[in-house]
Amino acid sequence: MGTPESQHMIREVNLTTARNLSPLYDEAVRDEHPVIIRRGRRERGVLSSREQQLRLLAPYELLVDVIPEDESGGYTLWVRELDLGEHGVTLAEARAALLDSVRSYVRYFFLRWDLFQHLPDRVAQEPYVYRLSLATDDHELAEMLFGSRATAPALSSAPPAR
Amino acid sequence: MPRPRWEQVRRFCLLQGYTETRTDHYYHDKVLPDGSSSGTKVSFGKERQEVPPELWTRVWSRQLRLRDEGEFWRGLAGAAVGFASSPISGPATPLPAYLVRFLEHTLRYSDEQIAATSREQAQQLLNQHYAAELQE
Repeated sequence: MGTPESQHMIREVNLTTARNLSPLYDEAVRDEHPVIIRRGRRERGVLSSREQQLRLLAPYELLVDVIPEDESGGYTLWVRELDLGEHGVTLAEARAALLDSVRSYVRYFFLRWDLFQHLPDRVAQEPYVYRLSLATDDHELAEMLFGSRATAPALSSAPPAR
Repeated sequence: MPRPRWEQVRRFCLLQGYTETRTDHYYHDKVLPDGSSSGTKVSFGKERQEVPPELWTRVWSRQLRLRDEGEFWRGLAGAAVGFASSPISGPATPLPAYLVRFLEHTLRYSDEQIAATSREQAQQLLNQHYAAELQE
């Protein structure tokens, strides 16, 4: 026997009930049982923990290419998934500039969402941007950008046998 | 072909009808006829600086999505520009010069080994070479 369509799979409460937020917060964030908060007939928000969302978004890994600027000097760092890059005279300067640029772009992305939600190329960036937006500090942001994927031993750095 | 200064990138966008939004940078966006978007960012205080070559290649091809580099200069002169219908992946040569130099001088690859290395593989090797420094 199937579950009746009207029976919610996760708890759903209306906005009036949600005014008493503390028990819902415990349920959604501490216990990681997401709660839907409904306003009227159509609007629904989801309350869930940041850690849970980070786990769900973990597959959206970002890849940063390192590109030496042999002609003019310095390094360009390029985030493929966002088509976004920064330059620095040193790698450390480029890294700092990229962190700043990514933070700025995430803010800009949400600022322009009214438009971007209609553009498939920007919509494709949404999970990456959302994941980055959950970073609480530079260390976590850097881990998302320069973490495991860039260092994964997908390829040996040793030259192939001659 | 010369490289533009960032102020010229901004002027191109203004001439070509991009929407400019000022936050902590100048952001420019334009919706293309195929429903994709073209856009870039110019940082405050960098207007007089030239765009570095490799970054410039990605700005005109990946961000502005121009059909070719010459479209930028035509657009800067006020002419209508042609856009690529879908994102293009940069230079069509098998390996860009910076990757050849890395394989040849840093990893000591032979010509045959370089010829057998794809762009994706070479870029991954280069990324790995700098990974530890970036993670610090």
